[in-house]
Amino acid sequence: MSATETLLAVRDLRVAFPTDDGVVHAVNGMDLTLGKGETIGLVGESGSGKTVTSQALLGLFKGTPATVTGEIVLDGTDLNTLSESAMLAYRGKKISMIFQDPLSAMHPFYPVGSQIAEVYRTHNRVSRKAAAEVAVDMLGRVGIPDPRRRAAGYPHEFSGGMRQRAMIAMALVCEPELLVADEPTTALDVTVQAQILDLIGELQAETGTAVIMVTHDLGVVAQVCHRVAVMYGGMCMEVASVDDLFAAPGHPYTQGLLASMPSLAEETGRLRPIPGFPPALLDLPAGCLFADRCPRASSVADDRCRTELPLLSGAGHLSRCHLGGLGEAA
Amino acid sequence: MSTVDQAGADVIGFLVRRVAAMIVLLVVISFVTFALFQVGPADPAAAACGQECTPERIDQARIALGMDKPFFVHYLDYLSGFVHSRMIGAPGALTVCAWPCLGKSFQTNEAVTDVLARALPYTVSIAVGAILLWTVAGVSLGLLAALRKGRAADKLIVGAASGGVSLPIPVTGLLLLLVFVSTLHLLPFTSNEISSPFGPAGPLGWFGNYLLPWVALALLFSAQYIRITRTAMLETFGEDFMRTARAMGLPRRRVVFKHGVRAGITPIVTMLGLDIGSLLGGAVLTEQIFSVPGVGFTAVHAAQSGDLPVTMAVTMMAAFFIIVANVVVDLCYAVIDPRVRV
Repeated sequence: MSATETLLAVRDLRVAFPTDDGVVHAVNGMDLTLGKGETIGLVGESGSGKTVTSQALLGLFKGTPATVTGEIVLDGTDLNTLSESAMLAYRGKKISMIFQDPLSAMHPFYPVGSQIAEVYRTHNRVSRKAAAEVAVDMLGRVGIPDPRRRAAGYPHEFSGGMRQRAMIAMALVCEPELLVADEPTTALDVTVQAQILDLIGELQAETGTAVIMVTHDLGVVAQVCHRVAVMYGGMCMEVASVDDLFAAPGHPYTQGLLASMPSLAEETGRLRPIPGFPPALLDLPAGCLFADRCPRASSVADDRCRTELPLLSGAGHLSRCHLGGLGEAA
Repeated sequence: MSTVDQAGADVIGFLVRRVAAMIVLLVVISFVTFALFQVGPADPAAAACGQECTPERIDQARIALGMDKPFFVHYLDYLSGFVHSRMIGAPGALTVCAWPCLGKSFQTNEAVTDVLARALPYTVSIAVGAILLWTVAGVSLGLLAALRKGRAADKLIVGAASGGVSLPIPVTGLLLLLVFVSTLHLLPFTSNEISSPFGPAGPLGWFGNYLLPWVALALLFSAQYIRITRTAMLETFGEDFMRTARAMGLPRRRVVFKHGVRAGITPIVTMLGLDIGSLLGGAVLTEQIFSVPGVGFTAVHAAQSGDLPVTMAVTMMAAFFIIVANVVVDLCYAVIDPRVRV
């Protein structure tokens, strides 16, 4: 962990949804720390709990049937203990969020500028006119040309990339300390993806905002993140700096994930998927959630992988595996 | 050219197209109604000639009504009244029917336009109050049910709505009359003297006169508005932009009433527009039950007595209102939803 001041500390976060079929345990003891201005990647397959975790950070499950336990400490305040109304002062102001599909994430019936101004006015006592000016200024800062004219436009009149820029303008207009970006480039063209990632990086350098980059794309992680947390079955399997993770993945799941990435350098034309399926979240197994798919579970004595949940351990480079030792990459 | 000018030109083009389509549609409707009348069981001539009808008198009546002419000639005669005034009546006893001429009543020989002008205020009186009542009740209860989804209030409202939908006007109307007029004497029987809040009875008299018809209609219609509002709002609450509004720290009141209602209101506007249009064409059952001589009441009596011009006029007017309501709804869409370009 770097020496910078800690901004966010998530401890043993659990999110469960009651359904007709039983309780779905989407997040099962998530631990995460983030320094000020740092960028951490949250990677994992679909259903690994990335999005649920990110929405829980903003307290979006307050007032719903979902149960959220654990600590979400932002700047010394445990957000999970706050009421919905107390949380309002944090959302958009100190912790903000952008989403995968900016078209559906913005209101279709209001001009883009007025949506940004509304967020600013929610957290700052300024006139409508002043807020509208701030919105125009912010649209300019995210690289939208002719921002004064575009502020009067509606989301459907923007291109995908411009829309995501406008969404970023909305999320950052109050200069939050933490931005949760939930797959912000997944719905975009590859060339636009790179521009959006660059933009987030630039704004981050200007404002010192920390970013949680939720993605299933390890390429995105490599491009923008300092550290990365690999999620599986609603918990962290491995947390490491980006360089360490790519150079020496410690957890068999991470190793499988990296091995499954197609490489242009290699001659073998076949993808190498991880066999099996992600765990059923209705009925969690007692041991390691990855044990059923793990190529090395049988090498651990006493069947520990299936009976005992390993802890997230290590120094700096953390891994949740009974095999423990790092650098044992196959 | 500015976008505002462009939008203005778009709206005018839209209106021109819609008015042209409306005229075509009205001609088609008039033709169908006219044709249906020819094959109907009622013989207008027999009805018009009075008590003692000899075959000769029926023939005379037929000539006086214009029913001796071939179908198309008769129909075109009728249509010509929309363009200019025309002469109506038996040979030697022709009278002028001023433009716009919708014919004269077979029953009373009164100009049909006068018949409509007399009936319409009653129907408008019923419609105005009923629409206001059911919209306010339906939309607010529907919104409340959506906000309390799955809880007791939701179940109560949805249950009441299911009950309301299955209450036919004759049942509620008669029950209301029985309880509030005959038994409790809280309200007078509906009077056909009162057709406007500006008449001699005053606004209060008008209000009291139409309260029961309003309630009877509102019980039926607000049930539908509760259901459609609840469904539309629940769908809206699940939208991504609602989550965004919360994620940006907007208070719940603002998220629900500004972002939610604005987005969820479209189907309600559609239904309201069509209901207003069809109600102005006559609330047939309500007017019958409460003996209000409005458009619907007039239509029923005209159809029963084979009064072709009055039946035609009421049908055309109802069609006109419904078509206009459709155009207005489409214009409202463009105001509500910037993605809609008319």
